[in-house]
Parts: sequence; C-alpha cells; structure tokens
Amino acid sequence: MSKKTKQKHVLVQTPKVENQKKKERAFHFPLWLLPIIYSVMFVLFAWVFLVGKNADTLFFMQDRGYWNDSMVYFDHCMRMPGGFLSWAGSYLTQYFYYPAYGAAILILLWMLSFCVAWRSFHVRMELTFLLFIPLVALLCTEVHLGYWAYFMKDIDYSFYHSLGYFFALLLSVDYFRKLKYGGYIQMILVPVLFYYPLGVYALLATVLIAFRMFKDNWRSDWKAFILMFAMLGIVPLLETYGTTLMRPDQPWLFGLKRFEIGPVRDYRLEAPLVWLICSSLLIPLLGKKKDGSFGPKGLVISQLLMLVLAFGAYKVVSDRNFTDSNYHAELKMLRAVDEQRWDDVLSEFCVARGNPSRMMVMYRDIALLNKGELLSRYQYNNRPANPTVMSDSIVVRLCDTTGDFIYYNFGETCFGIRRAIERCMHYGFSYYTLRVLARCALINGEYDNVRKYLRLLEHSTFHKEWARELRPYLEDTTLIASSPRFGLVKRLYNGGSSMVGSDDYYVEPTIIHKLAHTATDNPEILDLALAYCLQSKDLKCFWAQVWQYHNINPDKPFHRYIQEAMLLYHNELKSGPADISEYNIDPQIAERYNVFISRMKEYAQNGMKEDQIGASLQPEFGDTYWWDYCVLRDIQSY
Amino acid sequence: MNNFQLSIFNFQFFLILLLLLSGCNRHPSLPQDYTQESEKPDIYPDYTDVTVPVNIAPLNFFVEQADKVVARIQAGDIAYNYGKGNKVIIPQKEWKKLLASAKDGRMTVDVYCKKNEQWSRYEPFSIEVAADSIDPYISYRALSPTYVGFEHLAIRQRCLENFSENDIFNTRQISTEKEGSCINCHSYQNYRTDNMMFHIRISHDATMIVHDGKLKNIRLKTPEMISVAVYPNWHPTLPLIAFSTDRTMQSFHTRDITKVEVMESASDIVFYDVEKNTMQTVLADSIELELFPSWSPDGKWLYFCSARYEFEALNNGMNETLNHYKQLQYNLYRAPFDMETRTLGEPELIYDAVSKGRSAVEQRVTSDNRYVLFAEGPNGLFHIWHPSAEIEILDQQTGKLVDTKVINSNRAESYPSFSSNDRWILFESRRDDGNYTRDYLAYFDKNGRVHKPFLIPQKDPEFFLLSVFSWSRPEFMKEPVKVTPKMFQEQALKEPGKVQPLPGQETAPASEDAEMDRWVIN
Repeated sequence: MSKKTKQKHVLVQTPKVENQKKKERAFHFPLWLLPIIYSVMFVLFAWVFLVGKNADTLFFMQDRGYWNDSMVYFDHCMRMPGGFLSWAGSYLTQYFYYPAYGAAILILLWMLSFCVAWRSFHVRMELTFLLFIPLVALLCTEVHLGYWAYFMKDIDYSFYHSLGYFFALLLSVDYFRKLKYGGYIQMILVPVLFYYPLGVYALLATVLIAFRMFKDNWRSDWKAFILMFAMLGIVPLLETYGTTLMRPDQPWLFGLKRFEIGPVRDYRLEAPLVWLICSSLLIPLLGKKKDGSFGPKGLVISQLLMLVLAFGAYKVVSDRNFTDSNYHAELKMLRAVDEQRWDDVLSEFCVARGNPSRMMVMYRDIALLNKGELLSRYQYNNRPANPTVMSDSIVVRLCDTTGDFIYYNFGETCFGIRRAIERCMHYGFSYYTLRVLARCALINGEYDNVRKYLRLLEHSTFHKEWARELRPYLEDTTLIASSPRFGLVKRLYNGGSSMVGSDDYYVEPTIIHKLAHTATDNPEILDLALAYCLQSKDLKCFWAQVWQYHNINPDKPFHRYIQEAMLLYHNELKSGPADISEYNIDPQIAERYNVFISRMKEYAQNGMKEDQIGASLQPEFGDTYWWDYCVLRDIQSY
Repeated sequence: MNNFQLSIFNFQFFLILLLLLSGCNRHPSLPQDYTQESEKPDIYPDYTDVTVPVNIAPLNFFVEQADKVVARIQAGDIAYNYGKGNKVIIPQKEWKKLLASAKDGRMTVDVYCKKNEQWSRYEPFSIEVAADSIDPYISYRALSPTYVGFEHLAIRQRCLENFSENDIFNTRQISTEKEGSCINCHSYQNYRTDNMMFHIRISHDATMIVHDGKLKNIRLKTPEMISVAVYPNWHPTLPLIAFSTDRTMQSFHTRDITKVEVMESASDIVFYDVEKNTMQTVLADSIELELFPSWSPDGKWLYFCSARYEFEALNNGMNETLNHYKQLQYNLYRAPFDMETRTLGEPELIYDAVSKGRSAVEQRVTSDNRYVLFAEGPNGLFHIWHPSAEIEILDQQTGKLVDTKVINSNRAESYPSFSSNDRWILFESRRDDGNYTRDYLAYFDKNGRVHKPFLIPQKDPEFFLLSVFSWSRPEFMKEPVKVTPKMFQEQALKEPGKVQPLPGQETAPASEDAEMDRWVIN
C-alpha cells in the first residue's frame, strides 16, 4: 500500500475510530470474560446433573461397559466405522467407576470442544454461548437414559458422541489455510483417512469444513459443497465396499444411536443427537469476518438471548433428566448387593418413595437372606409397583436386566450363567456380566472358566482389583464354602435340587417355585424352603416342608410367620393335618390371628371393599403374613 | 498445514518410527546365565511335541508365568531366537523357512524364561512337521456361547497358512434392532466354495446357496417336512444336498454344568436338488430320529445317525422327549446311494453306541470309506455341551475303534471332520475353560494313528484367552469363499424362492407340537 493511500485511509477512518473509542470508553466491559463466565456456568450446570443427580447412572454405565488393554479388543473395535471412537469411548467410560472422576473427564472434553470451536471458527465472544447448544445436547444424552441404560448395545455410548464431536471440530480446523487449495485437500483427506476410525463424525467434519469454506468465501467456495457431497457419498461406499459388515442404510449413519427394541423406536431419545449434529453445523457460520464487537446494544441483545437459551437449556435438561425414584433406588441397591452392604440395601429400600418394584423386592430379600432375616420381609412395604415400562410400552423384565445376578444370589448359578450369556449375546460383555459369570462359575466349580473371566477383568483399569481378590479362592477352593463372601451362595447351590426345565423368562416365580420345592434335610435350606412356600402360597408344598422341618427339629419352634401361615392355611383354607397342635403355635399369635379374622369379617360385613379392608387392617396387622396374604394378591411378575 | 506444523509432524513421526524400530529386536540373544529346569515349559497354546502340517501359520506362544521369554527354534541348519516380553512371535517368512527345513522331520524349541530377574532354561520340546499339507482354509461360526438368544454372530473364514481372516457373512449386515438373525450350518461341496450354503433364520429366513458360483436364497420347507431343512451335507459331485429336518427343543439344567440339553422330538432326512429346486424325503421312519446326514467322499454312501424312540402318545413328542431325554441316544448307520437313480438302499448299522450307553453323532468318513470319525457323548446330539463327549474313529475294516485318547480331554469335544487328504482332523473342544469352544487340529497318519492336537495358531498367542467368542462348527476349505459379504447381503434382502416337493411326494403337513412348559427332576 502506498504512503498516499495509507494517509487517505487513515483520514477516512479517523471519525469512525474515534467514535468506536468513545463507545469503548463509555462502555468498558471486558468481553474476554464472557466465554469464561459461560464456561463456569456450564461446568456447574453439567456437574449438578451428572454428579449431583446421576452419579448412580454413571457408575452403572461403566459397570455395563467393557474395555481391555489388549490388541484383541482394539482389533475387535476397529472392525467397524467409528472403531476408534468405540475403543476410546469404552476406555473413558471406565472412569465412571468414580462418577466424579469420569464426569470431570467428560466435562473437560466438552470444554476442549468449546475451545476448539471458539478459536478455530473465530466466534465472537458475545456469541460463544451458542457453542454450548451442542454441549447441552450431549449432556441430555447422559441424563435421559433411564431404563434404557439396561438395554444399551453400545458400551461406549457415554463418551462416543462427545469424542466424535470433539474430533469432528478438531479435524475441521483450517490447518491448510496457507495452501491455495488447502480446504479442498482437507475435505478429501479427512473422510478418506478418518472414516474408519471416526465413522459418522469424520463425515460431520467434512461438512463443517465445507460450511467454513462457504462462509469464508461463498462466491468462490460454493464448489466446496459439490466436493462435500461427492466425498460423503463415495467414501463410505468405497471404504465398506464388498466387505461391509453393515446394513445398506448404515454406512452414512453408523454410530448414531437408535433407541429401538422390538416394534418400539424412541425418537425422543434420539433427538439430542440430531440436535448435536444440526447445531454443530451452525458453528462455522458464527465466525466473525472482521475484528470488533457488537457494541452495547448488540451486547445486551446477545446476553438477553443467552439468558433465554440458558433458561431453555435448564428446562430441557431438567425435563429429560430421568428422576424415577425406583430406578435410582434399584441402581443403588444393585451396587450395594454387589458389594454385600446389606444394611445399605435395606435402608435404600426404605427411603425409596412409592411402592417397590419387583427388582427392589428381590434385592431386599437377598439382603435379608444374607442377614438371616428373610422372614422379616413381611415387615416391609410389599405393595407391588406396577410393572416398569420404558418408552411407553416396553416392560422392563428381570431376566433382561439383572436376572443373572439375582439367580446367582439364590444359588441358581447355572441359570445365572445362562441369563448372563444371553445378555452378552444381545448387549455385549460387560464388567457386570464378567463378575456374575466369574462368581457363578466359582460356585459351580468351573475353575478354568473363572480364570478366563478374571483374566479379562485383570485387563481392565478398575476391575482388576476385584479379580485379584478372587484369585485366592482358585488357589484354595475350600475357602469358597467357608467364606462370608461365597459361603451362603455355595450352601444354597449345594442344597438345591438338580432339575432340568426352563424359567420361561420369569426370574422371580422360578426362584420362588424352585426354592419352595427344594427337597432337603439341610436345616438352613429348609428354613429358606419354608420361607418361599409362604411366597408361593402352595399349600401342599408348605405342609410337606412343615412336616420335614418338624421331623428334623422336633423341639424347635417355628418362626412367627410360619406359625401365622399355619393358622391361616389350617383354619381358614382348611388344609394340612387335622390337628396342628403338635407344632406348638404361640398362643399370642393364635389370639392375634383370631382378632385379625374377626376384624376382617366384620369389615366385610360392613360392606367395605377389599382395598378399604386392607387399609383399615394395615396399622394393626400390616406386619403379619395374613395381611400380605389377604391384601397383596395378584402380585405381577415380569 | 504450514511448514512449521509439517516439520513438527515429520519430526514426531520420525521419533516414533525410531522408537518402534529400536524396540523391534527381532532376534534376541540367549541368556548366558540361567538355571536348568528338568521339565518342559508351560506354554500356551500347548505346542509341545505336536505334529503340524508343512503349510501351517507360525505357532506363536507365550509363557504366562514368565516376565520375559526367549525361544530358540532350530530346524536343520536354520535356527532363530525369538522373544518379545513373555511372548514368542515368529515372523511369517522365517517360519516358512523353518517349516521347509523341518519337513518330514522335526524342529526343536529351546525355551528360556525370566522370572524375578532369574533366567531358567527348560527341557527342549519338538514340533514334528508332517509332509502332508493341510487344506489352507477353515470356516467357523463366531458367537458367544449362547443358549437361545442370538444377535451378533458371524461365519468367518481363516487362512491356516497365515493369520488372515474375514467374515463370510455377519448378522450385522441384515439384523435390525427390531429383529435379529441367526446364521448357521455352513457347508461346502467337496471342500470347494463354488458350491456352498448356509442358513439364515428368523429375520430374512432362507438358505443361501451358491451353485456354480451363482447365488440364490431359497426357503427350504415343503408342507410334508417337519421343519425347514436343518443340518446339511453336499454330495461330493452331484448338485444335491442332504438335510435333516427336525423339531428341536432345549431344556436347562439347574445344577449339572452341562447346562443345556438339546433334543429332537422328530427328525427325517431329505434331499434337495439344487438344480431342479426339488425336495425329496428319503428317510422318515416314525420311530427313528434320523439326523446329521453326511456323504462318503466317493458319493456312494449316505452316512447318518439315528435314535430309536417310540412315543407313547401321539402329538406328545415334546413332553415325552423331556421326560426321556437321557434315553435319546444315536447309533451310526449308512445306506448305499445310487447316483443314477438318486435313491437310497437299505440302511445298515455301522456302530452301535446305544448298547454302550452312549450317543454317536456328527460322523465323517475318509476317502477310502475305511475310517468313520464322529463325536460320542452320553445322550442327545449337541455334544459340545456334554463334558464327557469325545472324538472317536471307527475302523470299518476291523470294526474296532481307533485309540483316540491323545486327542480327547476331560471336557467336551465335538464336530470333527477330515481334511480333503484325510490326514488332518479338525474338531471343536472346550478343553481350555469348559465354556468357550476352540478349534483344534490333529494329525491322522497313514497308519491310522492319531497325534497330539494343537490349537489353531493365532498372531497374538493370548487371543483365545481374551476372546469371548466361541469358534463353533469348523469346516475345512480348499479355497476361500469368493462371494463377498456384500453379495450375500444383497441376496439375503431379496424375497427367497420356494422349493417344490418332488412329484408324488406331497403328503399331509407335519404336525406342530405344543410348547414345552414343565420341570423334570434329574
């Protein structure tokens, strides 16, 4: 530029520059603070929802995940497009073992994505809040799963999309800006080199590059769109040609989660991923063409927009956050059962609001069983909750969720293995299933099988300690029966009957039926058989077990609840022996029974309905077997 | 990328390359200071004193208990040292030289292990190298050791001469979240892949048939058949596949680690003419459960197994089968086959397993019709779930069983087959851990003697210990499958064709039994 022109330029610009300076003097707001404020707000917001409200889900997601440090696993992941995201996603998911730790990594990844987007696309500081829209979508994907968490086939889900988004932004940075055809070269290289490791997110990066080029110079770079469409169409086809392991519709969308089971597809849960992709396409368009700020008016408008969006984000995330109290109680109880914290299982059961799900009842009974207090189950709230349903129509069944683990805890280890393997077939192997399988095989005496599962766990980051704790049981198998950890399950296994049949996908009735019909002279197992006769309400079976119990322990009084059942079955249902006096029924129990029956008949004669009678009797008799038997009928199994 | 960035990238790349190269000492030196051990090393897979074909892939192995391993492999004048951590990984080219040098002889392997900073030298072991080569490919089904459910499974092919492996077909290609698919029963005509087949079940239910290189999908069910066509075997020369058609059920143990019993309550044998697209029922005795047809390599005999069971009540097959599942035991039979008229002669019993209280299934025959290879278990047909199941070989010339102790273990063995030159036996076994099926190879020499089997070699010797997939139903192949997964996919998504019953064979539809829902105490 010549000296003359420069002077002219300066002269022309002077009033504007002065005006600008005046404005800046009058309105002296450090704009660089804005991205920092937004970031702090978002970090706090995400932290509250991830760690504050969903720590149990995060832990569960890692427990249902799987990663190992071998090339065998890496090669397995890399067979499909997006393989690297899958591998890295399942690696990072491990860190939810400590939910705060994993959440911190996830949020850090989001903030890195924010920084890359901001710096690479030169977004105005006043508009950087818009870069949080995709991140809010990603936050939604973490907190809205609910019972779908049990049915995730993508063990890498928690980090897959966050990593994909990050890499898509990173790959769309203008690395070749000094080369004449840099953008075009980048648009060819990115899908060609990264389609297999990054899958759909390599395609997203290609689109972002095209948008960036178009936005920078739309007059000349409209050709970028032609190249973009060509690359999007050709690369997935060429790279999967002949040897594809995908359906014909998948090469372009493989990796984008579909929430679909049977005839049901839940688009609501898929929406945040669509939102993520669409909103990220806006990022290149937010870049500024010239330096400078909006000025006070623009700033105020932009910040008002920010407030509206922040409020909207809060509403959307709150709305999507899955808050079902039974769901969270089940997750906490599952972990407590796994870690054999029996008192925590029971306290969690008690604090849960509403009626308990069958899963909660099973966990509670496992805790009571281990505390030797199974029959005290009638002192708890046994009112059945309605079957849990997800996406409006899919019943969450025990056999599909934690049936394997429940079977294990009742000593039904062969069925536990079956259910665990069937789960793996559909949802892949996980630390959870490997631990269930290892324990079941240990009880079955399949020690080489245990070694296999322990080896797999030892190749993980956080479950190797659990595996090492089991090694001594393999070195000295006599420890199994005597240990507090496995002793009861081993005794249940040894005391159970050897049968062949099927559970027909019903875990709870199978356990009740199996235990109630156990033919045994082992006093501990017999106690359990009697307890389960009360649940099965099979009178013939009940009296047979009573007779067996009395033969083995002629001087030992029956448990209070067994006595209550004897009175009810004998006096009211006219079953069992003609005379039950030899069973030494406690007179106080008999007297209370008479009161219960007379009260019930009285209420019935007064025209009260069944539920009204149940409610009226509960304060006085809610802790009895009679109340459960007469009021809690038709408990649905699922 | 600007020049600075490019130079950084190059520098880093160079550094990484340098580091990688410096770590790749391909031939480590042998330790000088060691203690001599009196036993052979405990290596995985166990390749000690095995006999291998001259064209097998490198037998990589590792020593679990060692921190470092160095192995010296010597064959004739050639010797190399290998060791990478506790693994011995042998480069393909050098392994080929070793094999060529040891052909019809042996190579010796001298193993040194370092543990707690102390080197030990173990007794050397040998690897016999038979001059008989092995069919270069096998195919198998990769899946979790599942019972009923299926979703992620594939039929894969593996080159035994190296480590290359790929999917023939994968259920991912057609399964949706709504409905999964099962693929099974791959079969080839005379070890070649121009004529081959496998079934797809549930979603896109059909049989994929490649005939003279051309692909079609057919639903192999006629009204008179009990079920769709199930267990197949291609005639070695004719365009004819023998199938069993059967009603299968499963029941589960609560204590027995057998875990599952697979039973048939009805079973017949049919022939499918690939060219004419006709189905012909050939064995349908109402009190015989004929199963697993297989042709002799000359095509003149049809071998099969059959269990004799007379049901007490009509249409009560399933419940009765469950009650008497232990009594369902199979004998081996063969029937002459007239290749001109395509008719079967009178079946003859060739092996009476039932009198021994056993059940013999999945038979295969050598080219000279002398040896019959089969799996024998306590009852039923799915011996991979029976820990006492073993591989047996019947010498039809002497009527006696060949001593097969060396290839059996105290865990399940099943689904054996001969290579095309009869010298190699491929079978599946759960000997490693009791639950995951692995494929083994064993040499069967000209004198009818079986040699110690060995696990299919893998690039990473730890592979099978870390893999959560079973390798089931292995089959030898002389060549890889030429039809690509994409071609199979395109065909599978098309509406399948229908098969015609052979004229004069139309009968009343076979009845369907009620679902089983009961328990039996063992």
